[in-house]
Amino acid sequence: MTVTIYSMAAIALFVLGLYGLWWQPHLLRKLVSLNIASAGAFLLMVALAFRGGDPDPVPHALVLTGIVISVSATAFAVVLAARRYRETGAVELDDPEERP
Amino acid sequence: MNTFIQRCLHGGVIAVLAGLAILLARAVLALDPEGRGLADTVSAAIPDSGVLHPLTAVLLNFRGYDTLLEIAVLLVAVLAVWSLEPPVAPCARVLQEPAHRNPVLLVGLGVMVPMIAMTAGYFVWVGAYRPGGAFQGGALLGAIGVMLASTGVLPSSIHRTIRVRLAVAAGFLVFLLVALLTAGGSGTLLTYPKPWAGLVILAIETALALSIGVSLALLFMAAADRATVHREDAP
Repeated sequence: MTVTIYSMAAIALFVLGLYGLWWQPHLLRKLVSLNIASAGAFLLMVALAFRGGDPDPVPHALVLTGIVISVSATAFAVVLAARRYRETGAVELDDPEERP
Repeated sequence: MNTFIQRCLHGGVIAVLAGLAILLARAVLALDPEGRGLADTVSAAIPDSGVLHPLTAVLLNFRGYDTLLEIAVLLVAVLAVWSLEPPVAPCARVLQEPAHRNPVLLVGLGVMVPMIAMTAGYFVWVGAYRPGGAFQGGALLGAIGVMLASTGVLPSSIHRTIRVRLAVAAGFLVFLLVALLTAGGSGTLLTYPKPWAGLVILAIETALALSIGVSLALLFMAAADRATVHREDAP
């Protein structure tokens, strides 16, 4: 039961993050959304590792690795977005006039 | 008309994502609720790993290759951030008032930094038989870096010193050296000789914790520097 609650919450987080990544135009909002989605993915892996009584260490190890990777990717993306802002003044991916 | 198209698009996105959520939920519910994954395989192999905690055994021994690549990714991230543009503003600008003028902050740092450093060392050591290890220790070391950088104690030109650059690369270099030695010695990459496994893992973990901590702090400093410059440049 606990595993189901956590897994469903993880799926909700993941989909919510994907929604933001897809629909929010601002780059920082996209980045926050991406992190929410990855938190969902990590939570799902940790929850599923707990199914058979004592937790399976392999998904835990993958999540621990994934956290460090997502932190480095986020830092790189922040710097990239800041650079883009300084070069073009844009905080969104599309040109403002092209957006619907 | 334009807003109408956008609304339709928005509805479509929500519908697709709701479908994805239902699909994922069904897939998760279809899994065997008693599935044990690799837990039994791992606990059977623990005596061969050189450590007692299954997570450390997986990270540093059974799946050492993943961790080697992970520290390589962290190194590449630091290099990529640096190559985008070298920091120009001192990090002290994150905090308007430098720490030197604030005695409470300085004393607080003096109390907290050694305590956090000690905890980080404990985490690396305890990883052999309890939850802990290079990542937890490295994250704490990174926190020290963030504290020192945002209070202006650490100059933002710190990454130009050779010591810091060595610290960033240490984890990857030590791990790579072990990989090469094991590949040459036993013919298999990252298969540690059993009597030495515990020691090898501790050595790798120490180097990893140092590199992870310094890299995280430097990533923070780089991002904070950009943010500061960016605010001042803004019209």
